[in-house]
Amino acid sequence: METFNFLKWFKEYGWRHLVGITFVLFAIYPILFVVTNSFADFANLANSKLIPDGFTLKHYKKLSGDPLVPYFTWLFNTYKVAIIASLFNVFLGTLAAYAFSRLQFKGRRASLLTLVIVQMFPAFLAFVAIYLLFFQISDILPFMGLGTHLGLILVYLGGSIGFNSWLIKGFMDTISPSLDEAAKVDGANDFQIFTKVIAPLARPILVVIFVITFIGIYSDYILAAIFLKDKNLWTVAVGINTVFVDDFNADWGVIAASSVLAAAPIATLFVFFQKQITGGLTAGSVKG
Amino acid sequence: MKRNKLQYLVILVLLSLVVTACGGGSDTASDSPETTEAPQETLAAPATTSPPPVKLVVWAEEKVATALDPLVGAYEAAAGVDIEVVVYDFGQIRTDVQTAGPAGEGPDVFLGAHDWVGELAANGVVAPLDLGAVASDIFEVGVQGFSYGGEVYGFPYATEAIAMYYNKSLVGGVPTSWADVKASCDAAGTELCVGAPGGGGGGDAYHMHPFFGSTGGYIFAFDAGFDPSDIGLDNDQAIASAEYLDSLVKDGTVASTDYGASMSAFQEGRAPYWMTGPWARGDASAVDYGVALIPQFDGNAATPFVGVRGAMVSSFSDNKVLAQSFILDFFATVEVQEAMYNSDPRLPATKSLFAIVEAADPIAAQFAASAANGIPMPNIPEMGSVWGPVGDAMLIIRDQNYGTNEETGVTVNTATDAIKLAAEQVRTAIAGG
Amino acid sequence: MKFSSILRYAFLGIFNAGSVYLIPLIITFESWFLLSVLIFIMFLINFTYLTDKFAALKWITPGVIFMFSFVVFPAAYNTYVSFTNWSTGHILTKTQAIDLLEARTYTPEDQRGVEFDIYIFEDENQEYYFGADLNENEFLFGKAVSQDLIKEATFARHEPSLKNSFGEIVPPEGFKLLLGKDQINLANKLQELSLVIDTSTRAQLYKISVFGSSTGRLLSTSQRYSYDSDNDILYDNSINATCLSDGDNFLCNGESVDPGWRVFVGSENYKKLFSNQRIRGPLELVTKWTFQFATLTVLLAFSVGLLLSITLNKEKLKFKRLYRALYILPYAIPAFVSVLVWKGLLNPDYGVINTWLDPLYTFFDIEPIKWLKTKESARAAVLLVNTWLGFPYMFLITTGALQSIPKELTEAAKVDGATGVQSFWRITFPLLMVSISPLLIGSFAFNFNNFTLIFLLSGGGPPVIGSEVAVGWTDILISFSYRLAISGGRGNLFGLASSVTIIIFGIVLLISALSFRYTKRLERIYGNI
Repeated sequence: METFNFLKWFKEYGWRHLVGITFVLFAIYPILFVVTNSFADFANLANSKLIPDGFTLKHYKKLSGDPLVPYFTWLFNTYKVAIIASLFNVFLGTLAAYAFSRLQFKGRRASLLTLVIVQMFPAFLAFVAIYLLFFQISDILPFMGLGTHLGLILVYLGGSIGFNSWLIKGFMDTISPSLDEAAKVDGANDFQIFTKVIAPLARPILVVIFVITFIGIYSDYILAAIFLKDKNLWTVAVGINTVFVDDFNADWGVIAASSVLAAAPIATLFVFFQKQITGGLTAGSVKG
Repeated sequence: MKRNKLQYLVILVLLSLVVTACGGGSDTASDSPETTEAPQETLAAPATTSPPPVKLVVWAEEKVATALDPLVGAYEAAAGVDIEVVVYDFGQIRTDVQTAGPAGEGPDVFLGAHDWVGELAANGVVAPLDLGAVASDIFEVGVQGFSYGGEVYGFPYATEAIAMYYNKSLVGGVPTSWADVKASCDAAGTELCVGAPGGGGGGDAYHMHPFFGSTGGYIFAFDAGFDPSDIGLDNDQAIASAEYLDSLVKDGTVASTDYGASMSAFQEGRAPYWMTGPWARGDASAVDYGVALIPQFDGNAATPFVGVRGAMVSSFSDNKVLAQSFILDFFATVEVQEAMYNSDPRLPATKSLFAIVEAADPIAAQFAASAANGIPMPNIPEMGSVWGPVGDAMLIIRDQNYGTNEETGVTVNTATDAIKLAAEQVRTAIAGG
Repeated sequence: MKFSSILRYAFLGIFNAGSVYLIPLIITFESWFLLSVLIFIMFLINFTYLTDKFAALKWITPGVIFMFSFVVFPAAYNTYVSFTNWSTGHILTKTQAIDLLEARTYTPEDQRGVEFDIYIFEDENQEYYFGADLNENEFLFGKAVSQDLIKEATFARHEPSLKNSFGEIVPPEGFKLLLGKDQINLANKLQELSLVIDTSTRAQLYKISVFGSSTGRLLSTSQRYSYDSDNDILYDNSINATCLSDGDNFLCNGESVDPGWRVFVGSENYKKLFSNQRIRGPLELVTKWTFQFATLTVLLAFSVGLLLSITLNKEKLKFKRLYRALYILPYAIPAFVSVLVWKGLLNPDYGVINTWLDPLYTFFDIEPIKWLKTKESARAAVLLVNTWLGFPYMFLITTGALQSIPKELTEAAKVDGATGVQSFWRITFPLLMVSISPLLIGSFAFNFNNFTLIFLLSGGGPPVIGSEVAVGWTDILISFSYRLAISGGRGNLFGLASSVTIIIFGIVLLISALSFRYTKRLERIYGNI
């Protein structure tokens, strides 16, 4: 029987766990704080207690029964908007990335760079422009104007190409062109190569882009607040900010509880999606 | 082959254009029986059908809207109007009224804070409101808050000012002198004494106002409106008060805590006093608390900043008289005010409501008494240049952050320096523009 | 013809039909923004899909449409605003401002506060008459006229017969008395009418009562302001003054009249930024820190993220999934909650950080750090929290990028005798940089403008003592421009703030362009392995 060589284990695995656990603490501590505060009687972020006195479920109760606070509607809205927008975002970004990766045309690199740089424009006062634009859209096409989820989703699609495409393109570049050639020999055109060969292989990166986009949209407050006035259409960010955050005061217990409720599904989903990112294909098996 | 295809394409496109030109060309901005205004003149409703009820749109923040919504039914029935109460994020009302109003999509009535008046009036989006007979029922400080350039722009319905919370199990009340306050803290043996909070990373001129404004210091002089050219931040009384605050911090009477820390200190019994407003009653109830006036400065009553909430009329409303009637004839009545108070308790701005509240809620009466000694925050646009510098000065004194700044070479070693610097910054900001 | 072509032409047909249908509608609403966006989109789509050429464009156009509408268009608008004087007191168009001014009424001193009951009558022709019950001897009755007919109107007459001895109102023959409800339905008409009493006085509806009689008040017969459009002069009738325009306001007796209007001012905002001494000093300070902040934040987050993805990049490592899930968690909590939590943790007196560091403080005999209250601690805190917020993203992308590096390369290096560290730096890392560097540049750009973090965590503070314009040690360009925007001399200065935004973009653009040039070199060297 092989004896357990501690040093050898440490060199290969042990140090990894050490680093890993340290950073888990770093990452998790504030989150634990949020979780425990969501059950605390007098939740206040200036106190230092990880385990505060007074266990109560009242913050959660406030979010689940009150007709004035349709929290679960907000949660549903948030996920609905974020998922749809992220899906289309990934779709548009992948289409563009395919062109940049597989098609030869003049100014390929320059145009991709332009898209990336344009996206960097500070959005500071862009919100006013978007408000005015959708204000005008509301007169003509009210189903996608202000106060609609559709309009909001469309705005989120503004960021679909740019970074996303660059990252996807980079990944696509590592997919061997021999696969394209093989498919072409079989009589496939560009679109078929895209749907049947490249896109499936790019799945890991697409999942990553989806997650990143999703998180960005789900935490957005400003655009959602501009669009959504009807309480039943609000997202979580808008609802919490409007109802529970006051000038000096903020109901931290409820905010903490709402964060826990909102984040739990995402966290669970990520554990689920992990396989997509890490398992399955490695770039090596693509070649040859 | 190629040519055929091209020809085909061209024909298809032209065809589609022709089809739509025939069909859709005569469309104008018709329809919409609703009174949604298009940017041009509103079209009068056609006289063939019975006209739809007149609509008044009211914008209010969450709590206020929830209180108001069930009450308007009575007015709607009696008046035959349709009142739509829209819930808005409070800060957004201020900005949206200015973009939506000129574009024809704004409200008729909106409920907001008095310190918006200067900006709104300068931008022309708020209409003067003639208070008429109702004015005699309103506390002076409320009317002052909504006065700008000689006109009144809103009906005040609630005031807000800070006072002093005290922990009944630690101290018996709030003494009238600061020295006695310190003595009571020592007797109680607590770690901190008075939590006079500041906000976030910056300072908080709002909470700290009594410390420089009670003995004759002022930000802008008031005379039927605030005067941006008369700044009293660095007059002798203001400087003396700043030095006094400095001494209070140095001897431990005033703690160097921000809002959150003051709150938890009070809740945990580490500080017997907390100087803040009525919104914190829920948080303060962690202990058995009472409220009293802030101690005096040099025999003068403490002068807190008063915030006033009121109902205003948008100058882009098509129904200004009706909006005015709604406010004065309905909103201003004691019944509605009382119902609003029960749902969103704030300090009453009208004397008739105050009488009711005083009997029912002595704590609120204390806050109202504190407000009665206060002055409204200046509502002129220039006030925007004040919060930063004055807040910073207060923060320096509260945290004892004196020293020389390497970058600018400016030295602030005393409270006098701090407040003089603030006055200078405000003057240059207003002048420079 | 191929099915895909049929589909394509059908789509084009429908799209063009729809757009052409909408255009007249848009023009009627005078929605110029929408019009320009729509025309661009029409052009783009037809150009791309009509022909068989421009294959690549067909893939990119859908995304471009959205990017144009919601990124490019707002940027262009922003640029436009930076060349205007948009600020408090100047948000309306000149026409709107004049309309508002002309709609103002005024009441002479002696008639202020006079209120009386007012009754509204309607005759068979749907014309309206007012009855003003001023006092016992004056029940004035007459036709209510609109603004433009005031000069020719007959004066109201005393008609005591309309009010009987019981105080009830008796309408004359053929007239109907309007009740509160009726008045309300006609409110927006009635509010424009006036009862002329004499050459200088009239009565108007002031308050419509639902129960009981409505109230009226007295006004001067002329509006407060009249505008002479031929000569661009405003007359203030209440004080008999002639007001001239100074470009964006009318001046009456030397005082500006509110509201003013928005006007194009060319590069004035930019000139202000560069020449105004009191702004320049802080501007330089803030610019320096913004660069430091963005660079350090990217470096720190990237280092942590990379470290973690390398650490976990071992096949047989246990709990890998658990680690990865936990690292993504900071990402899942809404930013504003986590920033505020960190603020609590960093509280110098009661926060956990100082509690943990207490042994160190006592050991070295130093004062506990006053987090967020001093320049260094505030800057350190900002970087710490941003690292916490940013490392999950870096971790995600480095993990993804590491996946795409072929294993054979490092295995080949091992065979050649390279150590783990060597093969990392010589092979893995450069390849990583090829795909990641644009994202680092992007992260730099994002943090260059990371308003949320600074605003929530430190508010830009602690304050820089002695600067002429209020500025803090952790203010970055965008939070500084926000301060300028909201606390300019007189209210908001959007025009000025916009120009700062444009300058920020210019800087970011320059840096990005240069960095991309550099990564091109990298690509060339390493891209062909």
